[in-house]
Amino acid sequence: MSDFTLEIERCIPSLRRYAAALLHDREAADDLVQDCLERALRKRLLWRRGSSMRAWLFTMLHNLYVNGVRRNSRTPSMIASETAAVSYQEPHQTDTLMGDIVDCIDQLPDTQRQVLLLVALEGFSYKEVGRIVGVPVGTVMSRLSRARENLRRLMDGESRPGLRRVK
Amino acid sequence: MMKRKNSIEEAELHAYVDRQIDENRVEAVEAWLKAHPEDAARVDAWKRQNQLIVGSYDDDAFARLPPRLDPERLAAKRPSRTLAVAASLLLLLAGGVAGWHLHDVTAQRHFRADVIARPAISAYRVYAAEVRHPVEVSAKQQGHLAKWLSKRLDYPLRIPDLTSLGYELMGGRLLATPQGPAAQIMYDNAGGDRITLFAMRSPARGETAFHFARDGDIATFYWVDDAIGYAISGEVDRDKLLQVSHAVYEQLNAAPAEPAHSI
Repeated sequence: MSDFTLEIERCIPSLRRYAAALLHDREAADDLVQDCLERALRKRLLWRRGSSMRAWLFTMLHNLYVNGVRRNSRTPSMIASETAAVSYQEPHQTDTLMGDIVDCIDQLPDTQRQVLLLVALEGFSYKEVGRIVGVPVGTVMSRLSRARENLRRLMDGESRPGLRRVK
Repeated sequence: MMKRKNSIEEAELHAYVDRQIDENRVEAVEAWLKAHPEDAARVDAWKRQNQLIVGSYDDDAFARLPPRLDPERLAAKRPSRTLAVAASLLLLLAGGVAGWHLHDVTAQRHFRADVIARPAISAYRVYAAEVRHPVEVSAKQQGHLAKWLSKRLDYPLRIPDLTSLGYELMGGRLLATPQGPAAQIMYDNAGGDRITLFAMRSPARGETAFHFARDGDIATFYWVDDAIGYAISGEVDRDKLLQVSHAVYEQLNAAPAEPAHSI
């Protein structure tokens, strides 16, 4: 196995997790990750040895996701949201708090959701998040701040279960 | 008198929660939080959010690699780089042989080195040597240039910024190729070295690997992405050209910039 594919493989669990958090559908998430990996393999010449493979892959995943969302919003026949409602939190139903936070995050604007997940779930530095999402660090910080405050409001006000739960 | 504590910016509170804070600042932030219960409550809530987020997605299933995501398998489905490059050079020499690899059939079948690399190199040879009129529309009218070329290619063409690599935009021009209109964007560095980005509608949609070709002193990297075939050409070494191609590819593939206020 080459260094390149080995490095890619190390990143796959976190790519899958992030994609699942974005899409709420593990199959769709793996489709997205597969697209991302195929693209990475095609563009392997572009990867700079020594730079962060994980950030590079996440940047690609982000762009594919954003372009996919945009495409889907143009063709309503391909809506992701309803199929995606096959709920992600199934394994955590016993823990209402965790189910709630997933529901609440889901209600955040997409740009806030992405930044929050990249920071809190994937542990990227603010600078890396800026590069992945393609915005200045200042914008990352304001999105993060809004995401957290919105989330706090949502969790305080709407801690009742089954907010948007679709089975 | 006690020295007045510097106030703590909100960004620093986030950095504290996310453990991205400068170690030397931890003490100051903690002191601030003791004195400011409202901020302390926010910080606690954010910490709790982080824990819940991590907990919600903590699942071993993500670590079990499904076969379809196995990079080795995915890589095996693709022509290797050397194969792709060798094949593209062969195509250059042979003037195009279709169906040389089973994968990426639609993109590859129509993808000929001579459709993209050859006109890109020819145009470089003609116009990069031009002293008085290297470009038709200069960088001063960048907005117009982008609009005009996009219209002629019937595709929203972005003009990459290569200043970080020492190349300034000179401008661009419209070219004629046997396949229709193409765009040439030209850059130069302080030493007067010129690099061009060539773009034209690809005969087939899809993506291909990067290919490298050289004709005399002129080297070119070319690829197809979406509906457009691109080529970066210059009289520079392969590594430098690859660096430029990298920057160009990244910028062309970046999600469209959002206005700063759309937070």
